[in-house]
Amino acid sequence: MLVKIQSLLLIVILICAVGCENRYHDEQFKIHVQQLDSDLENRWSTNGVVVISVEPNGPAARAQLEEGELISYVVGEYSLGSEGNYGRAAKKSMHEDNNLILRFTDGRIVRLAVRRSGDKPGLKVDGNVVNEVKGGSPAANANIQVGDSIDAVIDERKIRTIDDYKEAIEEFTKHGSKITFRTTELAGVRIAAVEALGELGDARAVDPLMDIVEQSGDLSLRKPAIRSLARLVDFSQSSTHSTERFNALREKIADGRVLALAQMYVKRAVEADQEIRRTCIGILGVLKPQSAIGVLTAVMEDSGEVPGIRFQAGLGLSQIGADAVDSLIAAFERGDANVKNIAASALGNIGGIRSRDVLIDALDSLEDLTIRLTIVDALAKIGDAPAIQALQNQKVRFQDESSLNTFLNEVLGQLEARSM
Amino acid sequence: MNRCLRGSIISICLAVFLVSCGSHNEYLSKGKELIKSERRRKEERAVAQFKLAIQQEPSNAEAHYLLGFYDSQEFYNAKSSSENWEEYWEKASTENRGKHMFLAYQQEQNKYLEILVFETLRRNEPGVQNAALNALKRIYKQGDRDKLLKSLKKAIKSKDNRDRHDAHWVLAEIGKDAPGTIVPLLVELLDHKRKETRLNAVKALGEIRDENAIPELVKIVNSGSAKRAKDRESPEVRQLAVEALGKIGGAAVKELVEIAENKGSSLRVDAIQALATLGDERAVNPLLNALGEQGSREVEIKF
Repeated sequence: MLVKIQSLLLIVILICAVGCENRYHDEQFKIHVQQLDSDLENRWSTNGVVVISVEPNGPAARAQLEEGELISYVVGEYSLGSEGNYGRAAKKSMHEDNNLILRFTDGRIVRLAVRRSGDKPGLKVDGNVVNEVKGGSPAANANIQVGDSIDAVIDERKIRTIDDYKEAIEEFTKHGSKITFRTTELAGVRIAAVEALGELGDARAVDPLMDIVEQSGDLSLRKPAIRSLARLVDFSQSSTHSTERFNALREKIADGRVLALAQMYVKRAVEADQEIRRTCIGILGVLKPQSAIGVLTAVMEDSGEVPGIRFQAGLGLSQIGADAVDSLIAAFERGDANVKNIAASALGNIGGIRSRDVLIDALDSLEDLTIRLTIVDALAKIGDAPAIQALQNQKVRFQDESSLNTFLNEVLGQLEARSM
Repeated sequence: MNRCLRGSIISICLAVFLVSCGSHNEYLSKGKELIKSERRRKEERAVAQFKLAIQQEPSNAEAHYLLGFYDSQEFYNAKSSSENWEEYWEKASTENRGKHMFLAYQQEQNKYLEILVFETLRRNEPGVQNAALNALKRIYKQGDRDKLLKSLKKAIKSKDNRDRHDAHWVLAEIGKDAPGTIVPLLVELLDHKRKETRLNAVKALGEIRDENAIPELVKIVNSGSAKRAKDRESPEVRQLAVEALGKIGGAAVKELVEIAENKGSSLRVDAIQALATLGDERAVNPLLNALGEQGSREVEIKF
């Protein structure tokens, strides 16, 4: 008697344990699935069961389902054929979500939504051929015609729990229906991984991040990828580390591939997104290669480019320094007012005798007030004796032009204060 | 508004407390009068009275407590009239204010333990709170440890958010020096019925940064996929548990990597972000794998 009670107890415990299990082994499809984290639905608007493992050579493996994929929908199809079972199939399809999905023999897929459970979509079917469409009904609105022939009724089951999964599979396999898993990517994970890789300062992240920038069609991934590359470039140029990992990163960046990528994607003709172009300029400004002078000058002179980016290209050239002076002077001399402004400002940042002399000459000869203001500012930055002399000469010359004069007074005042 | 209300409640409590404690020490009475008054620099002047009160009666608990409470380094600087300002400045340090509060506790243990945990910590002034923390740390080392922990447990289980928050802070600070005692106490609280208590316990465990808390924190994180709703911890607590693992770092990196790799977890992004700040090399490969994950798609199963 006691043994009987004990074994009964054991069975009850076993049933409980099995009932509480959050995993399920699907013997037919040869996969293990796991109940999804309860708050994924709230936080990421996601539902489903997760594939924990796929057994080799099973139906799931043949379909190339992968571990970790999230099955959010199981979609079955009730094929109508000539004998037809439309009524029953439609009822099943609409059972959960009041949606009737039909695939016609001409390949059209039509989704008919009724307002409440029990409402009719408004069509009658004989075998698999539509023989009546009610005026004003969802079917009529979807332009279904009498005589259209239905290939299959599609039943889309949203999966929230393991029980939902079991029920859907059981139902569809019973009817020999075609089964499709619709999987969902967990939003944010890849973006977070891309961002984190920018922080970890590891050389191994460089190639995969470059692949994303070059090959992904997903802008929400490409933007963080280029930002992370820029972070890694920053890391590689800082002199505070000297670990093996850091040296590997420095070598990796020094191989020039990231530089080549930045020089390519800074171009408007190659990259449509301005944030990516901007970040590329940032990378070039940190690496400061001579080879970027041409491309940065081109961006600076590109009248179709966003003003902010053109200006940033000028700053990039300033960062490159003395090597960029020739190119900047050429651009200054041939360019329109905008180019002159940016180039003058960059020449002021870089300084040097040649920059100074070009700016002094221009200040004498140019009429445009904005450019003259920029040149005054640039010469003030250079701040050597000839520059100050040139500014003082201008003060005498432009006594009548109030805005320029005010600015000159301000600049000269500051220079004086600095020299004291 | 809230702060104002809280301030006035504390002031009233303090006033009642001051009035109710009858004292024969003249300086003490004068100091208390000053505090209640609207006079200029009243606290600074009251402090001078409390010091005299202690000189007269070195074992006066109330004078010690009030001196610890009100003395402040802000009263003393080179510009002040006193010649010995440096000495006074030193005496008003957190360390010394805590010492006075502790001396009050030594005279009347139960009374001042209650006051320190449920009143002093509530004062919205870092100087007072730090002095109280210092006193409580002294009690932990030299006083009745069991009663102190009992009192802090009561506070972290309290209905009042301020008590819970203050207690979590004190437990975390004591726990940094004595993880062997405090971590198990906090772990026990992870099963408490009040979510906010569990939340504060998790936060404190993160701040202590003791690796012994890792398994319990992992258990909380993973409870999200439990089949029965009652076995699942709430999302906020679980999220904080990931954050706590991020603060612990070290051996927690392995666990964070596992969470980041668990494709059924809602906390993958949190775990990845924690790994990003830790900068540990072990995170690189799992993150590279995450980049290669499948996007949304349809897979037809033939059977």
